[in-house]
This record gives sequence, structure tokens and C-alpha cells, in this order.
Amino acid sequence: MNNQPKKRYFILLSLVICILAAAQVVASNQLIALDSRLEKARSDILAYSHENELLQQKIASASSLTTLSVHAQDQGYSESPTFMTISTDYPVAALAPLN
Amino acid sequence: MRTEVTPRRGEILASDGSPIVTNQAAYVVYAEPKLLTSPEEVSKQLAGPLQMEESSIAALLKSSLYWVPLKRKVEQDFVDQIKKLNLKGIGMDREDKRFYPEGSMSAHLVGFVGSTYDGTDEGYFGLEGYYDRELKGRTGFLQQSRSALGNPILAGETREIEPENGSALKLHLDRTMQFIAEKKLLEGIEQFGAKGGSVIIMDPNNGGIKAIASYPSYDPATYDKFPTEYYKNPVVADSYEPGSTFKVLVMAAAINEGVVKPDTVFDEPGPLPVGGYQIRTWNNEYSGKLTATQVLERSSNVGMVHVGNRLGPDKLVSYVKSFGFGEKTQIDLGEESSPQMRADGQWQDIDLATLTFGQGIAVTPIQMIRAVAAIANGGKLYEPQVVDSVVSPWKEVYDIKPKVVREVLKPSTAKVVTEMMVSAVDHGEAKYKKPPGYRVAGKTGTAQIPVEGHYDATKTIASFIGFAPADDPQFIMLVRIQEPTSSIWGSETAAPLFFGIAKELFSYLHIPPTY
Repeated sequence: MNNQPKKRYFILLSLVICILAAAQVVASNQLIALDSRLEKARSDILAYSHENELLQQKIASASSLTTLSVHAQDQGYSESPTFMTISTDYPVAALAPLN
Repeated sequence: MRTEVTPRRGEILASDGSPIVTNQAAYVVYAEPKLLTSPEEVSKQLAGPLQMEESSIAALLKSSLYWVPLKRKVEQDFVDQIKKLNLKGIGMDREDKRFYPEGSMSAHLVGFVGSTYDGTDEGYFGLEGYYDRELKGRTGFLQQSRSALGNPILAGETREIEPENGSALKLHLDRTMQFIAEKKLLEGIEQFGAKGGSVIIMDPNNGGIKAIASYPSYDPATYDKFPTEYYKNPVVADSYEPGSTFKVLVMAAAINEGVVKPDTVFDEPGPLPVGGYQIRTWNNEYSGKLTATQVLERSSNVGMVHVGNRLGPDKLVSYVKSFGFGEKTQIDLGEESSPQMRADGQWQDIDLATLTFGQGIAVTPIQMIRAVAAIANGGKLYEPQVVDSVVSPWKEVYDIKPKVVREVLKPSTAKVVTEMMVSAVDHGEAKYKKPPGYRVAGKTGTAQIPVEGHYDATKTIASFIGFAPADDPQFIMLVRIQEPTSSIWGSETAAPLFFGIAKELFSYLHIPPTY
């Protein structure tokens, strides 16, 4: 009679251990799958960062004064030999005739 | 597995935030000789992308080491070619290199990045040298367990020390002013047949350096292909005798002491004997009676000796020191030097006489512009600054406040001397070069170069120093031309160059004419 409950407990315990072991295997497998996805995400981030750097470099080059000066010359812009300023005591529009 | 994580070196930015120096992706290409199956074949395939001799690569691959760097700082395009070859035992690690979007512009200001014996980046000269620690950052480490396939094990042991990227430097430098200064300087050197020259543009109201251009210069991206004597920034490292540009400082001292006024009359009948020598004017012409203002207009050496005599030797030397000569300016650039001044008690009469017109004293260009800036800003001697703020990797901004070293002149003195300098420009030898309608305070200088104990009559340093607009100075500029051959005179070389640059600055800074 005393052996029955002991036997039940033993079976229950074994079942729990088996379930836990199985759960650990499943969890470990999922973790490994996550590891791979994480590594891929890191790799993607690196690739995009790298692409950003290359684009920033291109932007810096394209907007440099040296580059702009060459483009300006190619398009026919030249240095202005003189510049004029308009300076009067009154706003220019006020000097216009009324009729 | 333990990996070093290299920090990114900090950028150097102009005042508008554009990068003057930034980083580009590059790699160290390495070999693991013990994994190579055919070193000869590998050498042959790598010679092209690495742009190295096959024999050099082969010699490295024969090494008994486990890891051998073949070439450092290899750019992306070449690395992509190597990756396509898919060579076992050849790998690449990220090793950024410096990139200069503006090419060789402001080379002397920024310096360059070289390598130490173990391949670590190190800044030399200029800002790269002075601020190397701030720009460098701190290397990080990653220690991680990995599976047989090389994937990280999250549940495994990971230790990480984050790298600390370098701080960025934001400068006072104005990209456009720098471009104008460099372009005009090069044109001027060619036009005047000069050996070299420099231009400095500074904000007289806070000591901020807006532009520094020197020639001959070098390209920091390929610094090793240039002579090493080009690396030093002549603006802070080279000395010269300032000549007549120094007269404005001696005049300012005399006015500050109240011993001279703009209309004080001096006598200039002929050469003046001093200590066994004859002091002559630059053109050996003598005007008789001259006011102090006319002494500057005609750049009279004889007149200046009279001014110096009124000031007295002790006060003269004291003011010269007060203006910062004989000491470093403490500008935030490496390689600054300061020529020594004569010790007190070693000044002979002739030394004091020549000091009044800027001969017999050696100064650096940065000392000179800082001193005259005190006239422009109402009497304050500022510490010149290249860097305006330091930006940490976490985007915290640390401003570097302008620093007043001392007050040298009274504001009233500065105003008076400014007017005298305006008169010197309007009525002096350089009057035809000034853009019409602007009040520019300035002074020409032509200093003979001392060679083996005497002055060479054919070689000069021609200079012009000035600020504008005179009533509210937005910039002060020193132009220095070394050994011009078309003419030895500052009024015919440095002055036209100064006004050529100033004209562009008036337009760029939207400064309208005064009259």
C-alpha cells in the first residue's frame, strides 16, 4: 500500500524532468536560431552603416569648395571684377516718380 | 575570442559644420601564412590590388608568424577586388584612414595622421598633433564565446568594453575665407615671383582664426611625398623682421603714454646719426617737418626714431613685451615657436632705434597679427584660437571661451591709432590699391632679410597688415610675401594682395562701403 503513492510521485517527477529537459532543448534551439538572426541583424547594420559612410564621403566631396569652384568654372561662372552697392538716404522705391 | 574595436578618429569641422577632415573606410589586408596553400600564386594575385611588388608580398608571406599585415589603409575599391579573389588565408580588418574633402586646403592648419611603429594612428603637426588625444578616442574590446559555426552564443560569456570614439573639433575657420586666402595667395606668389608667403585672417574681437594659408604647402593625404620642411606651419613657427608694420605698435605705445599726439611735429631734415650709424628713410627722401600721422603715412624711419626717443627705452621695450613679443601666443597648434628678445640691459642705442621701425627684432606672423588686433578691438591682447568648440562622441559641446591675456592700450588710444592707420592707407604708398569707399586701417612693411651678419639689399619680406571696416572691424589680416622679385616693396606686392583678398571679403561678409 505504501508503495503506490511513492510510485506515483516517482512517475510524476520523471515526467516533470523529461518535460523540463525537452523544454531546455527547445529553448536552446530557439536561442541558437535567435543567435543567427541577431548576427544577421548586426551584419545588416554594419553594411548599412558602411553604405552611409560612403555616401557621407561622397556628399563631403561633392559639396567641397574645391569641387564647386571647378564646376562653376566649367559652367562659365567667373569672378566679378567689380561690385556695386546702392546707397541712398531714402528707400529706393520712394525715389520713383509718382506718375 | 577577443577582438579589439578601433574607435573612429574625431572629425575636424569648419565653422559652418562642413568637414575639413573626416574618415573614410579603409582596411588592413593581412595574411595568415600557415593557412596559405600556394604563397607564390597569392603574391601574384594580390600584387595588382595592393599595388605592391610581387616579391615584397612573397617575402611577407614567408613569415613564420601566424598573422602578417601586408598593407595598411587599403581603400574600399581595392578591398572589393581582393574579396572577389576569395583567397584562403587572406583577410581584411577595418582600419579607417583620414579623408580631406577640400583636398590640400588648410594643410598647415590641420597637420596629418601618420603611424607609429605598431601601426597605431598618431597626429603630427597642426591640429592633428596638438589635439591628438582628443581626436584619437579609446580602443574598445569584445570578448565573446562563439559556436563551431562562428555565431555568437548569447548564453555564453561576453565581455565588452565599448570603444570611445574621438571628439570632433569645430573650428573658427571659415571655409570660404580659407578658400579665398589660399587662391589669392597662390596667384600673388606667381604674379610677384616670390619664394613663398602666408596670409592670416583673424577675428580681432575674440582671437578666432578665420583662415591661415601658407605656401609652399603639402597634401596631408600624401604627406610622405613632400619635403619634411613643409610640414611646419610658418605662421606660428617661422620668424621674420616685421619692418614698417611694427611702426603702428610703437606709435600706439607713444600715444598711450601721452608723449605723442597725432599732430605732434617731428623734424626730418636728413639722415639721423645714432650710435655711429645713419638712420635713413626707405627712399632716402626727407620731408622736413612731419606730424606723427605723416610719419606713418610716409613710413619715415627717422620720424619713428624720434617717437621712440620720446617714449624712452624702458617704456619702449616694456610695450614691446606687453604686445606679446618674446613669448608664445599659446595658440592651439603644435610647433609654435617664439624668437627670443634681447635681455634687458643689452639694448644699445642703435638697437632701440631700429626697433622703432621693426628691424633688429624677430617675430612670428601670429605674434604680429595678435598685437595689431589689440588696436582693432580697443586695446585687448587675445590668445589666438583655432578651435571654437570640442564635440564629444555623445554630442556634448564644450565651448572654448575667448581669452584676454591683458589690456595693452586704452580704448581711446586704439581709436586714435586706428585713424592714423586709415590715413596711412589713404595717403601712403598703397593708396591706389584700396577698394574705393572703404575705410581700411593698415600699414605696409618692407623688411630686409638678414644674411650672415648683414642685410641683403635685394631680398625682402614684403608685408601688409590691416583691418576693416575701421569703425567696426570684422577681420584683421596679415599678408606676408617672401622674397618677391617683381618688386621688393610691400606697397607693390603685399598691399595689392591684401586689398584683393579684402575686396572678396567685403562681398562675402556683406560689408557695404562707408562712403
